[in-house]
Amino acid sequence: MKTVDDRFLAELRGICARPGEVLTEPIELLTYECDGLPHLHQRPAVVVLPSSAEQVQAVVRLCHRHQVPFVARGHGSGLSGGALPIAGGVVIALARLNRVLEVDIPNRRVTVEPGVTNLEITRQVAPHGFYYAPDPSSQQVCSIGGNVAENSGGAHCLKYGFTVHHVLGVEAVLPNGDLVRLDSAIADAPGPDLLGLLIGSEGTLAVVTKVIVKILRRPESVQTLLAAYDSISAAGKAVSDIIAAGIIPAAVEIMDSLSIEAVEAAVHPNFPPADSILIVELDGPTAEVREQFEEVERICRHVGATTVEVAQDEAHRARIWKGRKGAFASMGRVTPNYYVQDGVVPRTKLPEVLARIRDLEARCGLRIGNVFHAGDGNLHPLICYDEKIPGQSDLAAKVGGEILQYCIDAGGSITGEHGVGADKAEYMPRMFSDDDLDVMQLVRRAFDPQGICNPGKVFPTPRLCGEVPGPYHAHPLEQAGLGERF
Amino acid sequence: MIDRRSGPSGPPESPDTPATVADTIDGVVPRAIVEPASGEEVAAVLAEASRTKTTVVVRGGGSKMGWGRPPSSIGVLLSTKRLDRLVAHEHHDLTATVQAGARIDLVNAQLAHHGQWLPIESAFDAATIGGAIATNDSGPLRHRYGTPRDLLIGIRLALPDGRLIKSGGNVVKNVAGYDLGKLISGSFGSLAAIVSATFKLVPLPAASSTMTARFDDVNGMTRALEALGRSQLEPAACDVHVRLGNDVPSRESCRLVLKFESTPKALNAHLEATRALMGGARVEAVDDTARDTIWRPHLRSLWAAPGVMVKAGWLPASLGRVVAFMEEARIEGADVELQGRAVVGSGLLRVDGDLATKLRVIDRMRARTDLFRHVVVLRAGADVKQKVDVWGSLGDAAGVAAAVKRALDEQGILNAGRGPV
Amino acid sequence: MSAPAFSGADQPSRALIDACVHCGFCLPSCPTYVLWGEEMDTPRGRVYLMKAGLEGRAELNETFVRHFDACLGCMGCVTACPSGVQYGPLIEKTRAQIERQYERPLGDRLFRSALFALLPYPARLRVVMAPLVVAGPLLRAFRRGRLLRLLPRRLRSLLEVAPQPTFSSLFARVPEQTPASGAQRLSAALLTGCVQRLAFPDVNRATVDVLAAEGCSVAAPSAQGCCGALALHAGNIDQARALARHNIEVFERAGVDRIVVNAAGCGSSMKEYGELFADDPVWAARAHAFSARVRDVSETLAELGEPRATRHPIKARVVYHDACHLAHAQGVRAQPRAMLATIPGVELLSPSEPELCCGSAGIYNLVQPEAAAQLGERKARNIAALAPDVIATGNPGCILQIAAAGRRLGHEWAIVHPIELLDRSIKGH
Repeated sequence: MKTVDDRFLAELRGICARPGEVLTEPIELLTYECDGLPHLHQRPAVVVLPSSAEQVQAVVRLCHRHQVPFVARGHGSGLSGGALPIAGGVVIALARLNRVLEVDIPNRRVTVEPGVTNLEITRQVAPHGFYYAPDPSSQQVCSIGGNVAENSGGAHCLKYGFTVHHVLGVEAVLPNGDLVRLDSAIADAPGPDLLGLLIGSEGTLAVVTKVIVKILRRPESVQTLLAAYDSISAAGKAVSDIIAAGIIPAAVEIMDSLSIEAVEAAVHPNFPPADSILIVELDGPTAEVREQFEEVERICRHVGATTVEVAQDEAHRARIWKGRKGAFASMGRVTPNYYVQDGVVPRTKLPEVLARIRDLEARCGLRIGNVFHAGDGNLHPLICYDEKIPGQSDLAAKVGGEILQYCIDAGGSITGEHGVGADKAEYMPRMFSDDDLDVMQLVRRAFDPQGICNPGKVFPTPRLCGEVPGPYHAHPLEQAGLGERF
Repeated sequence: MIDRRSGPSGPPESPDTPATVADTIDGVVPRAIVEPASGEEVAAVLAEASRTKTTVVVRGGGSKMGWGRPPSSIGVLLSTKRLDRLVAHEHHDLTATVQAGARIDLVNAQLAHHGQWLPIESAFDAATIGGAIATNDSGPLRHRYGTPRDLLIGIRLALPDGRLIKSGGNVVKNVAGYDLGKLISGSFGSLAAIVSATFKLVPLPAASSTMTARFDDVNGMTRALEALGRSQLEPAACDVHVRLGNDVPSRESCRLVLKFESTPKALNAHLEATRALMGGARVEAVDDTARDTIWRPHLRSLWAAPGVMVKAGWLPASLGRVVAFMEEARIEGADVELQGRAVVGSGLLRVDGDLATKLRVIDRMRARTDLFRHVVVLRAGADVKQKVDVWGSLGDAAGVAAAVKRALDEQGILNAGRGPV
Repeated sequence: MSAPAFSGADQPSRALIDACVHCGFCLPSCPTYVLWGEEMDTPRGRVYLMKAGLEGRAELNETFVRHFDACLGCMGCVTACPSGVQYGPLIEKTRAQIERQYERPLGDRLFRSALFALLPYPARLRVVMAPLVVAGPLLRAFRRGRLLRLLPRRLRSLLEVAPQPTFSSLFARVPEQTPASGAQRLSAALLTGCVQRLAFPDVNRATVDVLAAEGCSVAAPSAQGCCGALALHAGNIDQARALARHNIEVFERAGVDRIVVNAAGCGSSMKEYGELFADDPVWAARAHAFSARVRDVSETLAELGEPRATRHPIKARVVYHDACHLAHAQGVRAQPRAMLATIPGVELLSPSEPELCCGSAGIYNLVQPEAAAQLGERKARNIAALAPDVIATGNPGCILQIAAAGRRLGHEWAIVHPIELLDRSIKGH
């Protein structure tokens, strides 16, 4: 692996020749040094903003020829440092590949460039009564390309699945510069499901330049309720009882008191006072939803909800979801910094893991909020800290790691939807054996023999002397103004 | 068990179990059969085969062995017969782990004890979980539940280099690491041997009904489908069955077969609403909550009938043109039958006639890239397989697929050249 | 690490910067990201640069300045931000730092000096606008022709958005005191504005007449001056403070319940006088007290309660354009719509992408003409798609910008302040 040099830059400027397509100014590179996980940052050597798939292909070919590493970036909203640049490498920013190429309602599919936001896809088909189902909370900004990289889910993935269940095909540039069209198993492409592998590979196997997604008919009926409980375990019991009754809601979310506090301050959803809040949403044909919703309401009350609020109209429903979806960013109102984790545990193990987290909170002295997709056991602990207090960033990282260990102990996973990225690569050996990881790397090398496509992500890399995992802190030489990371 | 740990010295001289005619694959009899009882044993067999450059074909229930290119020779037939357990059923979490050789129907019989099931369908009773994943085979309920690959959350594989590895895990939501389960889906045993798999399950429906609508012509059927598409009805399966042949009256040629799964009350509402959309069709609804009296017979009769069986995809809105294509084939003397998922745009086309007719239809399907995609010949006699590559072109995927194959199966021992890689 | 980029008073606040958690939710709402798709021209990127400036990781060089100059100050990001980042004070202070420390190229400096020597001073502005009265028809012809394209970009932009005053409009005055009609519900003083006063005096007259008809007495202190919004938003913070102090004094003397504003940019600025004088022990309290009484005219009407004056029907498709400084900066969206809804016959419509700025943004369309033109065109197309009879918006800058953008697409739209429609409805025109 080599680094960007002047000859490389000259050739790059030949491919992307318009002003503003190639960025080398230090302060411009600075703004690309991190994604939605700002404690991990690394300035790239250059950022390139192509406007077409052809340009992307040419850039990757150039990188391949020079053996220079590259990182593809959507809108930089990721939460695992997947778009963290490589020192001396290239960031290929795909924000300008943001056109909706084809909306095919009769065949229920939409073709878009990777920079189109998740929500924009729904907006395009909404007038026809359709929508794009995977709905990450960041859907107003996250790009579909990023969704493909991370196999994003969202609150409604309990019923509707993840990105991999909704992508019919992609066009992508392989690390050697070949532009390929891959159809997924959903489209019955014969052979191994390469696209199924690509989705969720976190940008380490190819750079996607076109995505064909399937769209669904808006359900006839949507009913949402919000139930307030005195404890998370009560809320959890309600969820278990609902699932035991054979009902699969479209979404089941639980928020704890700290996240409720933050969200109330930020977006004012007017949640009732509660230790924890349960949101259950059912959708489908009216006849079915009505019957099942009555049952859900009954169960929620039976378990002991202090309040049950049934959304009376779309505005009310939107307010409830705004409260839930604003949860992470709202934390900014109650803490200077926060670190959000993404562990998964089997649903039945939730109470035990939550109890361990409460203990941990008491011991470590940092507040930990919790928001989770209760239906599938995906937790989002929000660890609050202040980076200006020495040692707190490290502590937050350690606490995050410990929570992940609880998840692994409970037979779960270190990441449900945010991806491993740079943030959790070090924990992969706790989930997978050396052989498991080695075989995955064999597959990776089949796509990327040179190791230039988003290297250093997903799989643990050997640590350099003195490098400490976790949040970034400046090397003493940097602090003294005598050195710079570039 | 047959002990394949014959040590580092020399190739298997005498097969532990002789193969019989029943084990023939496209006219080729494997030299030996092994039946490992554990993942470790599977891995050991593969390691030995790699070392000795012996080709290996994995077999589950043996229901789909004719799907693939004819092999020139097969060293070892690795049977998963003894890997037949339901390893775990976490019914509170709606997940289950199953060994590759377990029969789908028997697994579901056990899962039913807790009112759940694994919605994987096969036309064949002997079909195993491993075979379902490897072929990504599916049926009408694919409309609601997807294919095996969509339900897979974790997998254990034995590799040609003798390693036993896993990917995914036991939880429905998991993006840690590469999803090798997806990679293996549709690979037909050419990349690795599946040892066991973990799936997400669904609750058994409280009630279900199947409605069959018989149309006088394809236009009536496509209109009904469009009306259904504009409605808010959500059937669990939405199949189109078209049978064209000189002995088939045209009034019997087009059928929509819809399955609804819901609560008993809601079910009636769905059926009534659907009936109203079927135009002038002759409609019949059957309660099949307790027993399936429609789907299995349809599948069985499809596979029991003669001819080549071709799997293909099409853009759902092109159904009318698909039927027109079938009609052209019929006029030229073919007997053609389609059973497909109307909304997904995928299904099986059975084509019977003389060799030239069958070849012509397959050729034309592949040439009509405006109409059909991914045309794969699943079942065909040696005469057809001699003239036609069953897989068709893998397109752009071919290069990467080959690279992955080289990475995982360096010696190229798996699947004896039957493909797809 | 080098020295911090900022110095002296009026620096972007660390505490406010810390509220940003770098989530990126602001990106799709930022007009410059919509146009260019680059991180430096996003609220998140700009806050990151402010932080870097404070920490000495970025210097106040040409590139730094360029990305802050490109910001419209539309506050679209404030609406989108779930963490409550107060972007307004941050950009104002950063611009103040830039104006104080950075030496712009001569041409730029002269242009800006000219703008700020004229725009906040109605008497001077009147002189400069006088030729437009005579040149009106000439200007209209000029705009339709091709010669316009030959002019330097900024001059062209100036001519495209220039208002079309008449002699009477240049000298129009609002009465010093207008009593409420019937029992008085509220007492108010009107900010008559600068461009508003000279180019759109009908808006002021309509404001006074409607408020009076609804039981509100309206004072229009003749001693008042510019509110300082344009100066503040451009970083001339000292000039802004001087203008603000003058107005605070004048309006204090008026002794009214409410200070009513009919220009979005002015209203938003005046509501933030408290923040402007936060570090001034003498003026802080007075400024806060002043700001607490500031309302947009639509808010005042909402406050007055049940409409008194009969509204006569106006049958028209009315497209309401949310001015950024009303919707994003002040959170005023419902009240203007409610106001228009009281007029029978009005079919009220909103264009798609209502949250996106039209490109007026204070003097933005004069100093960043390319970007402003692209945004103007986008807004004009979204409006044109609704086939409006009339367009209503609560800001003079928006009126000029949308009119110019509409003209470039071949539309000669009727664009008014919502209060003018209400006035016509009450008077039965």
